[in-house]
Formats: sequence, C-alpha cells, structure tokens
Amino acid sequence: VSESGIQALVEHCGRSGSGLDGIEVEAALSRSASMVLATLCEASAWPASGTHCFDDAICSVIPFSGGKPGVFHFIISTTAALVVARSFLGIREEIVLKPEVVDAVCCEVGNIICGSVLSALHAQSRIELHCPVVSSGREERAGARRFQRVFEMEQGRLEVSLSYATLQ
Amino acid sequence: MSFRVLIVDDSPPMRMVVRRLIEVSGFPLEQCLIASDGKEALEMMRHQKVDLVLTDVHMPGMCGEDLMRAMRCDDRTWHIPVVVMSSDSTAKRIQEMLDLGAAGYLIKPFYPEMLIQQIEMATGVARV
Repeated sequence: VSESGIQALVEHCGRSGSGLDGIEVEAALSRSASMVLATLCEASAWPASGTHCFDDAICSVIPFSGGKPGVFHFIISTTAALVVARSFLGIREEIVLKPEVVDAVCCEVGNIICGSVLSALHAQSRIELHCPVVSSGREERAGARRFQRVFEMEQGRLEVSLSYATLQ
Repeated sequence: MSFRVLIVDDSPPMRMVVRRLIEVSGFPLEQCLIASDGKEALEMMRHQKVDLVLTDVHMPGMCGEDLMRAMRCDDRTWHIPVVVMSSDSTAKRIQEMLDLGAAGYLIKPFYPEMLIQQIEMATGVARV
C-alpha cells in the first residue's frame, strides 16, 4: 500500500470515527431493526428519510465497549412503543401496561437490535453490551460520529443510531 | 420425565417471554425458576435441583460467561446443561461459550421453535 493510500485510509477512519463505511453501518441498522421487530413483535417498519424530532418518545441508551466502544440509541414514539410492548409480551389490548414495563421492553428490544448490529459489523471482534437505560435524550460524546436510520411504523416513528467514540 | 429449568436474564420482559414459551410448548415442566444474574443463578442451583439453565451473556453483576466458569468448577452444578441466549453472535463469543461447555447457543431474536429445539437437544426431553 502506498503512503498516499495509507493516508487516505487514516483520513477515512478519522472521518467515520469507526473505520467503517457509513453505508455499511446504516444498512446493518436497517436490517437488524426490521428483523428484530418482525421476529419479536410482529411489527413492520419502513425506512424514512431524514432525521426527525420526537414530541413524545422513549429513548433507550445502550453503551457498548470492546474493540470499538460507543453508544447505541433506540428511540421510539410512545404510541408505537405501547404496541411493540404488547406484542413482545403477548398481552391483550384490554390489559393496561405500566410505563415501566413499556420502558423495559424498549430497553430489551433496543439491546437485541444493538447486539445484532454490532455482531454484523464486528463479527470477528469481542463486544460487550452494557445495561440499557431509559434516557431523556441522547448521550454521546462531543465529536462522536453518529450513524442513524429512521423508520415509519403504523403507530409512530422509530430511530436507531450508533455512535462510535471519536478516537477509536 | 419432568424437568426444572432456570432462566437467567437481567431483562424482566425477556424472562417473562421465555418462561411463557416454555410453559406453553408442551414440555413436561416441573418448575420454571428465574434469576436476574449469574450470582443469583449459582445460589439457586447450589440449593435446589435444576435440570437446564438458559442464560443471557451480558448481564450486570455476574455475566453468563463467568456463570459458566463457576458452574464448571462446582460439584453441584458442573453437570447441568446450559443453553446460551444472546444477541451477541460474534464468532469469538460463540466459540468461548461452546468451549466453556454450552450445550447450545441461541441467537436473539429467535422464534419459539428454535428455543424448543435447543431445549430438546440439551435435555433429551421431548414435548408431550
């Protein structure tokens, strides 16, 4: 590899913060989110363009470490979260779900999507997923490079994003 | 032959789903026990009969990997078959858990039939 080739590679890794191609990461986010929702919740999600603000949403944050540390976010509108939680738990509509139960399901679904994405992107590495927590907003380091995908669901919106720590 | 299964997962919703899947699957189940991490699971196994362990990998406290190491060093637990349930499908993780003696590795998300197959293979018990 020539010196200029190495330089280009270093610059590319510096830009992405992960050494991964953005298209590859976003494709993994799309595949994993769709597959997990279909398998566990019998729910469909269609890719949407752009970024969206959520007026009323549940945000599950999953830090991860290992070869490439970072943070995964699973943000879902509360109306969609309720449907996902009912389906995941197999609970009928007439039974009222406590907000903490819905939060716990969002954390678990987010955790599974995160594990699936990271396994696809870093199949030969060792990854460590940390406990998911419900947050009021994003928890990212300044300068972190974020990859994200937004989806439309019948009952609301969903966003999944992966942020790698800057210096990795 | 009825059997006792121990589900080890820090996620209450996942414990509930796995428990329900086993209960409705037709296995001759004597009891379904639950633990939220490896340490709690070890204590349960040391004081009561368990025929099968279904465990997550990434958990606060004692993780699934440490649980399996501890089980293999204990006369009361070394023989109990373990099926790992995790969204971590990296080659290293799967190989590590199999090297530690896991009878099966179930990648989340999974369909009910996949869980049932793993239980049948690990226990030799068939559904009624």
